[in-house]
Amino acid sequence: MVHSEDLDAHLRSVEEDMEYWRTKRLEPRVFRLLRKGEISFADIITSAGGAERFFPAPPVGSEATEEERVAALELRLGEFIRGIEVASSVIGSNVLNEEGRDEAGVYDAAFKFGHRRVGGSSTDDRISELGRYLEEEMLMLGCLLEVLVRKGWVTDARLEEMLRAKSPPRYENGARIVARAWLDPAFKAKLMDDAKGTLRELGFALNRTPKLVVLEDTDSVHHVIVCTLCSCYPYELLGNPPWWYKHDSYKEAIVREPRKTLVEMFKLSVPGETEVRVVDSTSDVRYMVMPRRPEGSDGLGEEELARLVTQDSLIGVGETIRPTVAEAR
Amino acid sequence: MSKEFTPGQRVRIKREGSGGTTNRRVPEYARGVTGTIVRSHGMVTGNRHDHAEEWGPLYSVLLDPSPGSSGERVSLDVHAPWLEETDAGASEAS
Repeated sequence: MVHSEDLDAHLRSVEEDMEYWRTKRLEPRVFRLLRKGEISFADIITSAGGAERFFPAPPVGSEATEEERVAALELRLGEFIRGIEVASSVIGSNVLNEEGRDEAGVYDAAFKFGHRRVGGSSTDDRISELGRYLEEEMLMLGCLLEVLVRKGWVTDARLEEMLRAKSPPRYENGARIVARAWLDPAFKAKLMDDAKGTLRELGFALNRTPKLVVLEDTDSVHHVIVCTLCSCYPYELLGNPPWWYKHDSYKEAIVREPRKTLVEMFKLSVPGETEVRVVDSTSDVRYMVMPRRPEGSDGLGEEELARLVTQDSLIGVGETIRPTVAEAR
Repeated sequence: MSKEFTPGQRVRIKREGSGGTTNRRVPEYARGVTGTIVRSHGMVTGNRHDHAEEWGPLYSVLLDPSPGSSGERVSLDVHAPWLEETDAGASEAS
């Protein structure tokens, strides 16, 4: 089975993401407000009545396949994450040091967060269990938002506006940049020299990206990105990485046997004469791959070319789409 | 001031961090490994979320393939304090 189609692994990844946002982003802010005496437990409990209006639960189709249900969970998780980001922008990011690496237990198990076990013996059960768990946490987040309104820290209207406006960046940003670089050598040269500065001129803020580097694939070298220590990724430009990017199975295999891993996990065969180079990131420098322009794409404009660039090709685990294939889609 | 390196220079990634602790800034597979500097990123500042203190200039190091591996190479970003010069040549697989 191709890794990216492994449903159970996908489900685990949704659970891990949810746990990350709960333990490292949502709860530290709630704890801080409680410990500073700015809100009380009673405030939270009495807000429950107004909490559900922020994230109305989507209807669940009884005919949905397991794949569709996991995809729906992922969308719901997206709402959870956006809600936390909105709450954070009202509260501020000055949280207690649960966000520190030591305190989070990255280096010392004594500090490590405990995670709730999501039960279920079958995939079907686990999807349902995780869904219930996520809804509980959505309720907590809704309570927090309601408290913020009741305290007068943000107006209801403003909060609604922020929740709706907060559309996350997507990989299509990268696709567009690659297409432009294929067409415009001067732009490409600037991009290779100083990606962050060049993209800031185009309106990407990149405030939390210390440095950005674009790696150009050629006939002689093919780049693949990974972050083995955590999950560094050009989030501000491309949005969230695919779920498998954060999985140990990918991280461990890609640095050990890159060429073989590309074939086994992603069905990508890099020609023998092309070097496969893995680029392991740290949080200081974020990388994006500029794949080679597909054959048969002469004469296409920027928008058409951008449609040939896939998320996987920006990481280096997939190919761009051949124009003939794109037409048939 | 931490030491500066130049592209093309041979380096070894330290096993230990300051004060004899394990070097947790580099992944385990790279500790003690030799390689070649391929890119200099300069001082990277303004990454308060990850590290408040400055760690000196940052470099991409193209690691020598481990013996018996399939020969593909990994480029890893390492700050100067965790690098040392070495005379060891590149291994044959490169």
